[in-house]
Amino acid sequence: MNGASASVGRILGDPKVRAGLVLLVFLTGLAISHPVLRDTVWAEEGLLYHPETGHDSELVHPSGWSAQHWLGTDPLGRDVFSTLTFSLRPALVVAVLAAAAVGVLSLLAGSMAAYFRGLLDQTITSLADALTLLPPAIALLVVGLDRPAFGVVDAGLLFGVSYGLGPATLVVRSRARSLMVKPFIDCSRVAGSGARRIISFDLIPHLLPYAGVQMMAAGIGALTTVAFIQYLGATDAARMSLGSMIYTAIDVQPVLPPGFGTFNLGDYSARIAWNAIASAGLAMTLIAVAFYLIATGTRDAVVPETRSR
Amino acid sequence: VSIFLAVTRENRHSFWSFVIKRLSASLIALWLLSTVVFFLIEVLIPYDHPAAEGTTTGRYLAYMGGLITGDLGRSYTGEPVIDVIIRALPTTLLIFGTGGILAYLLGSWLGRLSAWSLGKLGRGLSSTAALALYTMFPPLLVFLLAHFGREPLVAGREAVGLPVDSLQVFRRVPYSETDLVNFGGLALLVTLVIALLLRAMARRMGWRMVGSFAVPASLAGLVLAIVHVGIGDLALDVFFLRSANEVEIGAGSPVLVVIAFLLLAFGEVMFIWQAGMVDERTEDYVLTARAKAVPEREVRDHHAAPNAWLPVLARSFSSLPILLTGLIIIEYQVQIGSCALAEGASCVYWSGGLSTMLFTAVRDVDVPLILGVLITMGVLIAILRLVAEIAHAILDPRIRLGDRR
Repeated sequence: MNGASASVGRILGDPKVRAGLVLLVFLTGLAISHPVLRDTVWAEEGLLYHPETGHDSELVHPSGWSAQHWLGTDPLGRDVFSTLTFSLRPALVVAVLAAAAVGVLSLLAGSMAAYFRGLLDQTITSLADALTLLPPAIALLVVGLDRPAFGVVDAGLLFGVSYGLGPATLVVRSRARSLMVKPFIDCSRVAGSGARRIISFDLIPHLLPYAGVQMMAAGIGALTTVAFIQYLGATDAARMSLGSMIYTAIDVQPVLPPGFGTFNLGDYSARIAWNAIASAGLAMTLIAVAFYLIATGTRDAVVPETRSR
Repeated sequence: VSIFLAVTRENRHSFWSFVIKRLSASLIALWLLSTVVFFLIEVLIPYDHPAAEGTTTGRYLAYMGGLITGDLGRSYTGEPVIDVIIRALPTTLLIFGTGGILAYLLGSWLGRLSAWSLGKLGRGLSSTAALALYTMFPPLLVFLLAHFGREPLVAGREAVGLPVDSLQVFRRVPYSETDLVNFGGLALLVTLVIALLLRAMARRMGWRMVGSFAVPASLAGLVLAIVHVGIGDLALDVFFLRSANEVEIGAGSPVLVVIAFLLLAFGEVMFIWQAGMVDERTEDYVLTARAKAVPEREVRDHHAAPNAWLPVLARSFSSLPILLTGLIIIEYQVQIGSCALAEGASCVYWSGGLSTMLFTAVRDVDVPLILGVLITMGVLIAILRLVAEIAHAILDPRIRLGDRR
């Protein structure tokens, strides 16, 4: 019986994990739908549905949903469904990359520190202690603010590495150390398992749920921080992302048609682009919920006593 | 305190050696942090080094030498970095302190309640609500608070005859916004600490009523007091009224920062408490207490909660970095556009806290200030961690003695 594949099977069978995966697949599907629609349905309309420069000159913006604009338009007249699907891809890339980096790094560093102890453990722990003192969001803001060349892949990796080798490693290592004194590790050793086998088949499957919770935290944290950088950089409204969608919806004054009269608060507050705010806000929350479901479901599957009774 | 004394008396050697060990680990971590940050910035942020300062190694050694004596160099404005930081520190500490304590109180109460008394559906709903708040994009949260909080507030003020024009309000304000933050925050922090002590004392003496009302009553008292003096009213104005008259959305006040931080952070605390309490529910001692007809609330708060507290403490600190992220974003978000109305009015710019300072420094590529703020944040987190670890060691002897095994 292979321990690792058995626990993977149990994890994939958990209803929460399944729901989370379905949600993630749905969001990915939305992201993929953008290039598909761009090349088919929207292709005939020219630039009307362009996520960054599109503008429908026949409507007063922001407008609510209609057959032509499924989620309405934002204050600058861009189609919200198009900007949303366009912006989901970078958002998912950041969140998934950060989570993956945290998973790989914390599992490797944490289990190796607990298994080999000694100098390796001290080195890993000291580095982790130091990185814990540097919140990854701050590292990201310092490096990424006002720097367009710093892309989503860089951002996800930077966040993932600084969080993964920092706080996440500390959590996984302390858990791995308490596993190392359990009898099943000794059994495995007596049966002739080497370091690699014990780490990959005896330690890591048990550490997955703890790493999973850290991965969730990193994914959500990276998503929020990057969205904030985009939100702040959004004075350049042409760069589209979930963060700048919210910026445009909240802070950009609507483009008024000729003869609409002078601008005043009453007209303004009646025309807040709730469709754009809700779409972008909901997309971010759904990504977070998907991560949460997968992480807690994994924990329930591997550590059954945490399942709510 | 009595537990602390007992522990130190009975186990003096192991306790102090634990403290010294953790303290030196923190110092090493701080040194490593400043090294990592120094070289990270050196590589990633291109800027013109003044020619006189020599090679990278030379600058590094000089910087480290300065760090030991508390000298963080000079900001590009010419002011010593340490002075700039000391000016911003009280605001950050007060906001984080009060917001953190309030979030902890609310979160732990809701977490205990939902784990203990609600069914699966109720727990699911409360978790969803907390998750939605916890993962909400901070600028959006601030916007929603402002948007929906503004009208009721203006209407309420009109009803009692207070001025609703922010210029009028600011003309009669003799304080700067920074003073408001610092006085208001300090008052709130002191009240909370007194209330918590009162509650602990009341529990010890068995005055249950006093115990359960200590915190809410003190907070209500504080609110009444500041409204009476007129400061609380002003603090609310600083945000809500300004945005009522200006289209500027996102202008803000410290009060809003605390509220937004509270909303963002309590969900996390609630999750942690919920998980801790659910684990305790089926323990034998809970059954024993119930069999002895101990009231359910007492079982929850006095039997199960203390046992859940240790894992809660351990998990709280791993979520600290994420909570800090929220705080940093919120503080800056609220600060953007703050005091757009300053000309002519007696409103003085709210200088903001460390995070505002960090953003400004990054935008101005003021490298000494960036380094200074990063290291200050590192020191703050190190102190928090050290305090939590020592508390943990006092409560759980396995940690103190663990490494001797």
